[in-house]
Amino acid sequence: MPVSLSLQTAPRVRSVALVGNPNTGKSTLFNALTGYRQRVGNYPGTTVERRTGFLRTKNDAPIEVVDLPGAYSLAARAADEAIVLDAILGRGSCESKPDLIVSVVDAANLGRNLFFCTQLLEMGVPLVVAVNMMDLAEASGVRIDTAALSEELGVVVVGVVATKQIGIEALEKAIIDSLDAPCSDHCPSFPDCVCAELDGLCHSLADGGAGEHHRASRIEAMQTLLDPGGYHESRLVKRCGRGLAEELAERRGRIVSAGESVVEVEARVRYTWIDRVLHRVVTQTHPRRRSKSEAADRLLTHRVLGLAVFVLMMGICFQSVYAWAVPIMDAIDGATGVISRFLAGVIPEGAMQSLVVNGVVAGVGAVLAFLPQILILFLFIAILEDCGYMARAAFLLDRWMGLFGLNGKSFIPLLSSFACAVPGIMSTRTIEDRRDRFVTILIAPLMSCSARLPVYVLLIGAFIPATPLLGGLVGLQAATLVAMYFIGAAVAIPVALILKRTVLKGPPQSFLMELPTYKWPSPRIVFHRMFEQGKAFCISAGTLIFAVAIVIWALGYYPHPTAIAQAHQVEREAAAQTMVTEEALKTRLAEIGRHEAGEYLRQSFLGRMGLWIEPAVKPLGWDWRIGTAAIASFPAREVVVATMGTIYNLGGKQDEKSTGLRATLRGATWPDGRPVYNVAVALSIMVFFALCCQCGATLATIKREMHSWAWPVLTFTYMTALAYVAALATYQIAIRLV
Amino acid sequence: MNDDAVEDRLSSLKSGEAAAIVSIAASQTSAKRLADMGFVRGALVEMIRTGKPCLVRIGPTCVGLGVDHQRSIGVRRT
Repeated sequence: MPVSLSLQTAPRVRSVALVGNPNTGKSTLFNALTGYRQRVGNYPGTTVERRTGFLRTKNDAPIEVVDLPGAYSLAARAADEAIVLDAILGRGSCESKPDLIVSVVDAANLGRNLFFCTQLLEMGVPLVVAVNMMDLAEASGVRIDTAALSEELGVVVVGVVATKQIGIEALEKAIIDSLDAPCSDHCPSFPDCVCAELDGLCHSLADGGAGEHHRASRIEAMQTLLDPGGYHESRLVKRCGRGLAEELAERRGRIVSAGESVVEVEARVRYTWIDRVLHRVVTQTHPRRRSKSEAADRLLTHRVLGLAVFVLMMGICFQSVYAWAVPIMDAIDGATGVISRFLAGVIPEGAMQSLVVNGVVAGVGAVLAFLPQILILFLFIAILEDCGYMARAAFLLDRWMGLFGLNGKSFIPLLSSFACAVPGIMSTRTIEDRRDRFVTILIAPLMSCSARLPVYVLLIGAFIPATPLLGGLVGLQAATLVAMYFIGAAVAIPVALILKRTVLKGPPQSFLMELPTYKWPSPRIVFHRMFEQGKAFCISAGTLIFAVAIVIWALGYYPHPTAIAQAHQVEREAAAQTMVTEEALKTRLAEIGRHEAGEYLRQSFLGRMGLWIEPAVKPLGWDWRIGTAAIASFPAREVVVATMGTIYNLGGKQDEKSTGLRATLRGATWPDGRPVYNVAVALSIMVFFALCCQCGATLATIKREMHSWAWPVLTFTYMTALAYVAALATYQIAIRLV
Repeated sequence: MNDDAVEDRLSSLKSGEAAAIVSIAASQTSAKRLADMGFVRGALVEMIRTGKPCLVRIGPTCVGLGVDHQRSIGVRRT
């Protein structure tokens, strides 16, 4: 067995990896160990989050701590488990092996957790076991003798309660003491027939094409041999060629003829060994009582009541996104108006003033107004994720996900995608089946993300009447918002089914998921997530949207021919001559001013481009300005709001007293004076944005997760086609009904 | 399953009934995944909520199981 070598002469940062099953409190333990000195990054070439920090040692050399995603075993069924494996083996995207592994186990579920722990014991890396949530285990009548467990495993075992900072110092000491300790040789022994094949396989991997850099350890060989068709086999076969596949088949054949089951033998041997250990280590002080978590699940996983609770929670979420955010949004709108009036007064009239007021402030301000909604939505999702409810939602909706040809596990990424498709797509890593995962990724952008909210809120606020429905319980505006959210989900069903029957054909995968014990959401984690998202949104408003706003402004301002100014000057003079009353002159001059601004915009580069595309968007009920805004919003949907803010400001406001974009839209007209917007046009724009894939970040994430540009191209194409057709149908139907 | 009167499918358990796992007849991939989660021969399971998917307790953990998994696990009532 290879022993980790940590004898380099140059002083270097030692690293410690936290490894364990999902829901063992690894992240809380990580926080307790590292305090606030953390860094969040990604594993190279992936979107998997890599959290690192430093151990709070007194004066020794710094020790780096890495928090790895949860995994059930070394078999690496899902994409995130493969990352765990690469990280502890120090290969692939992870340059170096950790110097020590902290195996985090749940005290209340020691048996299942020790399964992975016994695999880690054989990794050839020093190990420390942290038995977390000792308090909860004691409360449920389970007492664990950590000293006896330490003897059995041959490594230091520390009992901790990460949430209460209990045992953290002892764990730190154990980590420092064990860094150079020899590896434990306590591990379950396998039947002779398995050992013989393992020895043989190790031998041929060392001789064969595995290469010196990738000398497979014995535990890796075991995972390859005993997991037919698994991650390790496909990886090694790719590296060493078909010969290895044949060799594996032969070796498995011999194990079967010796009377063992290839897939079951590892679990059987390990659990038998664990049972013996548990017998010595665990005492049940009083009979198990039904926990609060189980009591809550009697309601929350109920097929009818649980679903009702779920629907109610979603209703509250959307209603509050709409109701709570509007006052804040109006305040931001107001502030934007004050700032632009102030700047207009400070900067002399001309291109510079137009750039700052019409380009930057109007564009960026229009988008920033939607920050409150996005924060509220993320708050809800983060709370649901952190308290453990998401797994229940997946359980409840497993049946409904059957409509998509998927199982309940796909529900969690899809629900997260309602906040933002990027983390949604990243969370598909927990889906084991590759095809199910890909289908989930491809339909995730159809879920109505928070970047669509600005478009909905703007148009609903301006054009949908606030008629109360159901006796005042919900407003027509909120109902329209919910309808927009439904459209994406409803369209996702046939899309998923088609994908499952064509490019990603495969049998449905049966649901298998642990429902973790409920816990109070940690304010730190919840607010951190909300803050991160708010920050990302503001950064995009400050960079991408800022840049697009400037480009759109420039295209809409130039060439700014002087001929227009001259022609209008002539008209102004004529008006001054002919108009008798002061009042009439004022009206006439305002009219000339608007006409002048409109004329500039029509003759600008943007205006000429817009007239060119108008025939394509006219059937949707859009004028060229909406069409241009839609195209300009390719990098991010929320840009459309900024673009409209810029375009309409450039075109001259209809109502000088109002600063909000909502009022500006209400006053926009076709050249013949008809208003551009009505309910049908508003609906058509909303439906288009509900279904289109105007999001560079999503497309880039799809590429990273699926390792090919073909998938984002497919996603963009199908969604844009869908959006166009649906918007066309919406407009043509709505204009006849309303 | 009539030749072995004592062996039932997990799906046949009623809410509150406990049983020991005696066989797992799933594809290799599923069997391995189930085994990693603790579904091995000899393990005790308790049905908490029947249905598709059902909710079972294995050790102290609650696990949701789809219909294929329920049918693939053979149990003997305790």
